[in-house]
Amino acid sequence: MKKIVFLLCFIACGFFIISAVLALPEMGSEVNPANTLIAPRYFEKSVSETGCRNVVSAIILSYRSYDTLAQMVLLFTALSAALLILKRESPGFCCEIFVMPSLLVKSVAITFFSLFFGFAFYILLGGRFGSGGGFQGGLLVATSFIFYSLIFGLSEVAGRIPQNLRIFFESLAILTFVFIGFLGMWLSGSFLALSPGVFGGNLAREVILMLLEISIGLSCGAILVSLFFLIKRVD
Amino acid sequence: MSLINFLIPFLIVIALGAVLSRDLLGAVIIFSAFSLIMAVVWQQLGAPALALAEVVIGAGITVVLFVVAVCRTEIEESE
Repeated sequence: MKKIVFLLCFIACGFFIISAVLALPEMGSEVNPANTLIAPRYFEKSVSETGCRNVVSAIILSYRSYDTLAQMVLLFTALSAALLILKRESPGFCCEIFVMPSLLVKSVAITFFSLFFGFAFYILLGGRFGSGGGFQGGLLVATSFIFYSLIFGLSEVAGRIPQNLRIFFESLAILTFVFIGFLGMWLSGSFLALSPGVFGGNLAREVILMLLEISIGLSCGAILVSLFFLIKRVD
Repeated sequence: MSLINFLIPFLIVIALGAVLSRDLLGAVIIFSAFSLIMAVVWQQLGAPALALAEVVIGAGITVVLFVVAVCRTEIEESE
């Protein structure tokens, strides 16, 4: 009985999802509003309207900044849910049983870590000119720290990035977004208005986009390092 | 375009391999290969930003978190 009800629900959900997909405009057709109105606007005006030379970053940070704010809230909520079940580590948490690597492994790992970290910040800051941006850069920052912790142990990384610093960085992106949103509201009357003229000149806009990019990156990195800590540490 | 025509069937094969694999660690590694091929497909379709994100998320962070999770759980076979 239960199985039949489950199957009926499954078929009904599938029917609605497939009919919704079939009702979408045809992908790639030239009469599609996404291709006739939105894409040309982005390609022609994104540089003059946002000051980003990369169209993807212009969309992420300016046209679709509500989406980016919601993505940061989503990451933060995921971390909060994980923290609810697995508590944050206590100050003197004990590390897993861990063998100190040899000198060769350590020196190679340090070299690779510095290269990796530099590359992460290149991606983080280069998002306005080439491919890259806050999310990818932040993930690379987190990956480089995870790599470091795999070689040198978790407590070493916990000593390098104290817990208080991570707690600060985890909420940094949301706070920056809301702060800049209210700044736009105060100056132009609408939330997260990053249009030209609002922030007076190109330099201020560049600085604001860079601040958003850096805060997204640091938040992503801190959230992922915290998640890694939650799973990896042994109490 | 010919590269994509070759890669997409390959993607389906890798996905089936990851789902049907009995070994959890093996499945995670096959999944990272899936992400890597997927990144090449995104790059061929003209989305380098998405390809970069796919490599970092799929082949980097997810695999590390999955491997740690697999190592922390006890594996129990049942027929």
